[in-house]
Amino acid sequence: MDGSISVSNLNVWFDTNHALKDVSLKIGKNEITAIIGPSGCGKSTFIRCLNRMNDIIPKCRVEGTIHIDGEDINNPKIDVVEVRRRIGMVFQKPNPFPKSIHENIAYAPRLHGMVESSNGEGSEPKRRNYTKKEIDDLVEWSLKRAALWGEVKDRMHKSAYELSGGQQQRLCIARALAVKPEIMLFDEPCSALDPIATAKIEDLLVDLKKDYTVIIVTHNMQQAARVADKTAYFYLGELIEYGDTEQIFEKPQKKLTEQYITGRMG
Amino acid sequence: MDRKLKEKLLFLLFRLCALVVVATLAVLVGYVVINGIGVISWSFLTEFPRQGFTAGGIFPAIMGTLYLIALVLVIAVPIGVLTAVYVSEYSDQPLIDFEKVRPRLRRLAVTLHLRKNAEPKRPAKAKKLRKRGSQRLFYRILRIVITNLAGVPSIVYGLLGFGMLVIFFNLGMSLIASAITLAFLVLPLVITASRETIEAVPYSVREASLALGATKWQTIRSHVLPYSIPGILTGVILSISRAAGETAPILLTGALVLKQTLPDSIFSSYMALPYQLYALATQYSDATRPMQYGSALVLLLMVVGLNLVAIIIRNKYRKKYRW
Ligand SMILES: Nc1ncnc2c1ncn2[C@@H]1O[C@H](COP(=O)(O)OP(=O)(O)OP(=O)(O)O)[C@@H](O)[C@H]1O
Ligand SMILES: [Mg+2]
Repeated sequence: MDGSISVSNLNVWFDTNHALKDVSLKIGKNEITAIIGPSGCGKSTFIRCLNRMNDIIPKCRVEGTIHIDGEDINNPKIDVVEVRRRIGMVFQKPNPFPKSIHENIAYAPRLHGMVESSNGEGSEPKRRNYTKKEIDDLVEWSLKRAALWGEVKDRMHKSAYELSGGQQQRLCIARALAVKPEIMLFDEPCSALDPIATAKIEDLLVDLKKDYTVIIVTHNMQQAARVADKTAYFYLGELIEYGDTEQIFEKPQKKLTEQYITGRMG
Repeated sequence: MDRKLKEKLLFLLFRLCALVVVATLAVLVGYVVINGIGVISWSFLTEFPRQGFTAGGIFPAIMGTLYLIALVLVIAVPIGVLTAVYVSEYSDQPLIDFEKVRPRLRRLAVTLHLRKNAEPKRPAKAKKLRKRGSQRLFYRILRIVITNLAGVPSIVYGLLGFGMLVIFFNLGMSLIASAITLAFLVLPLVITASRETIEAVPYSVREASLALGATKWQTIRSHVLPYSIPGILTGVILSISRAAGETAPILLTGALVLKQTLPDSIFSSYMALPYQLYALATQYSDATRPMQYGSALVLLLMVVGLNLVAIIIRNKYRKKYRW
């Protein structure tokens, strides 16, 4: 239950397109890792491997091992659904359900039930159905954490499609938080947000770090520098450099990284 | 010819064509309404026919057609929708998974002393590609079957129902035999309409649900199917019209020209509006004319009314799930 991730020799193909090449890295618990790199370099593909969302793309083939808490998530015996529950994901494009704001968030918790008691290490915790009050509280809690509560508290039962793009993105963040995952994957969560909402999300990321392992894909160098403990630079499907954010931004070891960070490429 | 004149003439031609379509419907409906409206009364709707269809009403035929529509929908909609779900969501998996069945067959063979051990003779290897290929073939065949089912003439369905249901399965001339026959007939409509809407549900919505830890079936049940209700209802609307109007399949499987009682179970024969209309128009004298027009109008109104109900529900769902 700590959320450390260790990836070794990860390769991904889309038909013949070799999208990720021999990626290996270790991500510690309670860290924010930023993934940066030019468009099309495989950032989204990489984080989609971590919760096995690439499984549902028929022409996609994944090789290599990914251990989360020491457990190989590519093991055919593992319960994929459980992996996805434990690893929350916010997609690059906001994808709310065409239902009300409330239902968007309440959907997954209702599905999974509430953890009643954990029976010690290893064994599955007991779960029971949420009461209506508990669901409402959870919805409020999630929306507050995603910095959206104030804007939507008076229209919880309106369609999520009436929200603006940035609000939809924060709704998707709230929806993922409501499941209470152990690891959170963010694919460019701030690309449609104004500076104020961005700042709120960055605060959220730092706040989440206390309980979760956080991985964030971003095109915003300043954002990576502001929030991330570690930074990984991808280029054309390869992991070029990975290390402490400060080191990556101040003394990059590789020429390619330096070029990207100083804006001479990408 | 002057370009502008040509433009005008062409436009006129298009307009005329469209007018022919509208006029046909208007004349058809107008004729039925004008001749039928005077016949319709409370007693016409609630009484049994008397004196060789020259007096009384068409109550049993109305009820028979309503029963038929209800039964057809009960049979065809669940089967059709679930088939559509299978075709669009699961058909990358084979209908029968031989990889799973084979070991069981081997074990069965051992218990029957047909084999010595349950181990496969040759180790399974490199079968993946072939399996994929055959799945795609199966998927294509299924789609072709569904499209072609829609093109089979209704009399052929009628004969199938007569031979298979009435005679072979011994259902006799009955509501259920007719309903199953008509269900075969409307299945392609339900499947095609459902499949189209199911496949129109954005991929990102499924992704969102799966990423929250929902299973595939949970995703289908709480997202894909509810968002597809409007399209499924389109299939229902088409089915109602077909089931209410078809004559050939029901006259072979259970509809009678005259029956002095309402059907008391799904195994009894019945009267139905289109067949009554056909029989009166072809076999009886002019004295039954009023009843013919009345039946035609009632049938028309019934189909329009039921479709309206379905359309209202559809619009409600369209508003509810919008993207
Ligand atoms: N569903 C897919 N089918 C086929 N190819 C894909 C698919 N998704 C990604 N790819 C390919 O994989 C490669 C990496 O794509 P990916 O989406 O991971 O890039 P990215 O780094 O996230 O880019 P961006 O910053 O633009 O989001 C690209 O060459 C892309 O064409
Ligand atoms: Mg991306």
